[in-house]
Amino acid sequence: MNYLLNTSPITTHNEQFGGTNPNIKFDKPTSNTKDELIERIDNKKQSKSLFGFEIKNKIDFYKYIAVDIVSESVFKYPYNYITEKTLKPLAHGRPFIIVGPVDSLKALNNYGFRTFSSIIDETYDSIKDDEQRFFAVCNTIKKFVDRPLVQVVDDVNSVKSTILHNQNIMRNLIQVETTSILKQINSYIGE
Amino acid sequence: MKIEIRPEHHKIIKEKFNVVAEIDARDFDRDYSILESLLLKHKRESYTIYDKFLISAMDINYYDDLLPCSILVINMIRIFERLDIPFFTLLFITTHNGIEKEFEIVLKDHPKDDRPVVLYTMISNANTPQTYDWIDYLETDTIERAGMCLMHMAKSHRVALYNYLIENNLDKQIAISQHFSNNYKQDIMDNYNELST
Repeated sequence: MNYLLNTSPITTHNEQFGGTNPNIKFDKPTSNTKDELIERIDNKKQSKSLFGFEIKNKIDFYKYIAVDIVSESVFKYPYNYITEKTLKPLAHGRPFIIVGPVDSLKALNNYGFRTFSSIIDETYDSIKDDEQRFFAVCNTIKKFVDRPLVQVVDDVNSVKSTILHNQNIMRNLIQVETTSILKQINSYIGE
Repeated sequence: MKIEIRPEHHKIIKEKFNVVAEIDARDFDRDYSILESLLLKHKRESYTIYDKFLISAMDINYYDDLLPCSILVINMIRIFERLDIPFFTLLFITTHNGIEKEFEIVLKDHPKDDRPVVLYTMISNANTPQTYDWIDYLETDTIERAGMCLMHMAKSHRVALYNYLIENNLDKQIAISQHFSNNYKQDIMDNYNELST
């Protein structure tokens, strides 16, 4: 632990933000060529960059889906790291599954948000091993979406009170966080 | 969009401290000589506890399995030490909940009264706009798909997730958006180069 013995800044870093896990087997897209990849999507009258189905209005696309599968900015990471990707479904009133760092849902709970354990298996969130957590969250996704749509919609209907609660937290989040910053500073300067 | 401190937080910091210089980690985390030059430019003979170099790290950090903490924290501390600037002048605001532990690791043998001030917040200008479109999505009769997955830039976990969804034929139930091709390595380098400019 003699980092200070060398005072030269480190100049190399990981291949990618948050690192990669060589044990995760799906490390390349399965399509052989880019054209094939595009074709797979276009065959279903879908656009590669427009959310996979014909959007009536880009702004309100959340109303056409039941659950947001959030692929967070990082996955293998030492901290939970909540970005707009997670806050969007909270604001827009949809349940979500986070493909991200360990304890992401726990961090949201600490802010007063409620998650959706009554309809979604959220045990993936506490799995520290990145590979195991990845496959656990994949299984959760499959289990939730691979059902008749009517059942999925029923589940969303059953968590409306949670959705409303989260929207209320979102509305006050900036104020809450500003107060928190002020407290942290006052604690330091002794006010 | 550049991820920055929310203006409300910036205002409080300016009110409470004498900010000697404001530096965004994103501006130097690929070339730490930039940080060194900035600190050198604003270096003083002495400092009060209110004099602070405000360094914000609202975006993701680089980690390496060989190191016990982020490259950012190690390099910042090394540069402050090399320039003989006390660590208490560093006011570090971040979206990384728990990163103060990294400073404790690096400064384990350093006096406790000379430590950086670490402020944590979950929010930034990027994840909390002033107003959301508060559309009443509680209606569910409009739902067409069970799920949606917006992936955007290529990252290893996103490529892995995409392949899982495709291989399990879940793209029928889930609307998928992704901006990466089959050349995963090249995509990552393109993203890296784009972020560097």
